[in-house]
Amino acid sequence: MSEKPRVGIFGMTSCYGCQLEIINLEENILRLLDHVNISYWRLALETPSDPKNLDIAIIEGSASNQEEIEELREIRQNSKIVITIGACAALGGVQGMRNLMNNERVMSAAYSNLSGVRATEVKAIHEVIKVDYAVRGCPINKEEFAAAILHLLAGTQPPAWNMPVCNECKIKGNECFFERKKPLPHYQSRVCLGPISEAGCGARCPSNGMPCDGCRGWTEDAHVKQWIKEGLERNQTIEDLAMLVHRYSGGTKDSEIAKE
Amino acid sequence: MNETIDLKHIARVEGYGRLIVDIDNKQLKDAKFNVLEGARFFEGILLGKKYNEVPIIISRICAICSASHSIVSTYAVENALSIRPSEQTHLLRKLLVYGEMIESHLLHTYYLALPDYIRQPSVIPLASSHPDVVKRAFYGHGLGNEIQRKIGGRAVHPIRNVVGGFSMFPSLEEMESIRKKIPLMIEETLETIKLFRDLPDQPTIESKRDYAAIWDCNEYAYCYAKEIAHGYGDPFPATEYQTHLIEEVRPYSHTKFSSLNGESFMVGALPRLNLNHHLLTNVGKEALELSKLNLPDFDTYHNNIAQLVETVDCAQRSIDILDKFISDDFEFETFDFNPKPGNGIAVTEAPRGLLVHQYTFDEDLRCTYCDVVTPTAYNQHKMETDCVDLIPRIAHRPREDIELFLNMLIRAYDPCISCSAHSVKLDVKFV
Ligand code: SF4
Ligand code: SF4
Ligand code: SF4
Repeated sequence: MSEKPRVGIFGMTSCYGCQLEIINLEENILRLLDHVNISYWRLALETPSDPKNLDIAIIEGSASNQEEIEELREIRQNSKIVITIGACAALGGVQGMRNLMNNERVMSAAYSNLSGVRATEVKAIHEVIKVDYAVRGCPINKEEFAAAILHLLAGTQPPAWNMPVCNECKIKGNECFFERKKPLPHYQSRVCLGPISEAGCGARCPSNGMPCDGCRGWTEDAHVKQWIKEGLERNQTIEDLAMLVHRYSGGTKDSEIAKE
Repeated sequence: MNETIDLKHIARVEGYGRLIVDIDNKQLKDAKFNVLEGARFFEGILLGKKYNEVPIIISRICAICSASHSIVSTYAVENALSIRPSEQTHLLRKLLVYGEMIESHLLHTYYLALPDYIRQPSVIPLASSHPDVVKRAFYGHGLGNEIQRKIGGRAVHPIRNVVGGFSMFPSLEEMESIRKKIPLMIEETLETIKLFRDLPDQPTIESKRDYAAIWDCNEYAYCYAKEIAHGYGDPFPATEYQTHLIEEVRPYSHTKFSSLNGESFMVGALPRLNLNHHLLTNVGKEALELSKLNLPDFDTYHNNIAQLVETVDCAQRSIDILDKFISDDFEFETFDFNPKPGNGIAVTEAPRGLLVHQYTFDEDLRCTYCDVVTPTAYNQHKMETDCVDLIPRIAHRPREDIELFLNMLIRAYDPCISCSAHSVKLDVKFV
């Protein structure tokens, strides 16, 4: 037993959805447990459990206060490989939008008295410590997560997608939001982030009748400015477009686009 | 003898919370429950956002209640903008919520609570000691997720539920395939009710305080209603939630405390069952009888078994809706609407209790005000007063037992701390 690699699962500021997707593996968790020992996981194991000497640390959530930043540094010291799960960890997540808004105004809308609120700028995990691999999505796709773990255990690098959601969307045969003749119904945004968003989700949102809103982050060669230009041609305001391209990614350095 | 019990991380709950209990000479002096989650400021993030973006963003408050957040948010937006969704939309939303209730209740009872009842540190050892139970857990929990996936498009953070209706519909085959799997899950959950009922040497508590849930006199309301009912008085309109369910800040903590008529109160499965048991489906009534719960029940620990009774009831209700859809009247609807600015409030039941959303939209249909109150925020005060009721009963026991029973008490609420952290004040003191 003791030779199995040791894994720790950690939650920072998040909704727990990516950890929940791990539980949603159902009986496949048992298969994963054939290969690893979970030695730290607050969501599922009673304390005390042991966050030291880890082979793989799995981190969900963004860094949003000083305690989390310190915990992250400890995790990095205690682990050979660090991977992140989800948009919060990789990009900042929806809470990262407050970096791009008037922070004071955002915070006082939620709390009448700010004196006790310990909050720093929202940061993606790789802005704080070195991250070896990121499983993307809000939430992650559980199969993709399991496959990534198996790759890492085998010492191989999990696959990178390097293509936009549009490619998967076309394979699925969805009618493109940009090409519809009829005006779109009110509930949908007028624009789809598929052209600049990293694939791997199977074009989940367009396949369910909603435009992609970019939860997996941008492709490496994303033409964001070109995309914004197209959005402007569709009568969107620059503020709305900037918030949309950063709906999940306010916690990264990329967010400069929004400030332009 | 003075003793402080400090449960630094309450493990096996969704989120990061801490309970500090001071016991002096077997008397409870003080109990404080702290939320240590990072704050996410949703009320602020939504400012200026278009109404159709609101449900998508706000469901990210919490994964395990994401269907409830998405649904109550669409209802609140619809109320604000004078949009009337179709009858079929209501039914689809109910079905989505039943899937969520099943998934969340079974996650909690099997994976998070049951290990305590058989004195194991987690569900993992149960895979070898109780393989049949763990198999049931996978099946039922997975089925709850499958309902959410086929109706909402995704198990966590549904895609298809949008302002006004659904962006896509399940196919006949999808509905039939879920329908077929439900009866076995009902049968197995009834077995688990017996298991929970018969486990020896478990803590009990009698805390005769008020309890609340959304209310519809014609049906056991799991998903959206216009009123809120409670144990000791008449129901009141949901729109008056802020006058009845008072939130106050106390000087010793940055946490908000909720009270009803000046007292702590509970929300969740047990309160719902106390208020609605006469409206259970027949199969739900069978489950209730099997559970041997004597209603109204004031034992917080019984929230676990109440969740199992609700699981059975929600499973039967899913069958009823699916049968109706399959037999004749499912329509692929298109819809559009004419939104008008305004303010809207909606209340629903998340698996762990009463959930409120309120928004205001301006002429440009952008959000100018948002208030969200989550079940764990309502329950927090009661968690502390329950400690007052519990400690005299267990103070003579060894410290390990006291710690276990306190942990079990907090877990019985099935607290979703990540949910509550969006709005509560955080305690800055680290002692
Ligand atoms: S990425 Fe999305 S699903 Fe995952 S923890 Fe963050 S908000 Fe939740
Ligand atoms: S992802 Fe969006 S933009 Fe790309 S093809 Fe699909 S609908 Fe069109
Ligand atoms: S379609 Fe876009 S928003 Fe939807 S899951 Fe895929 S990357 Fe995320």
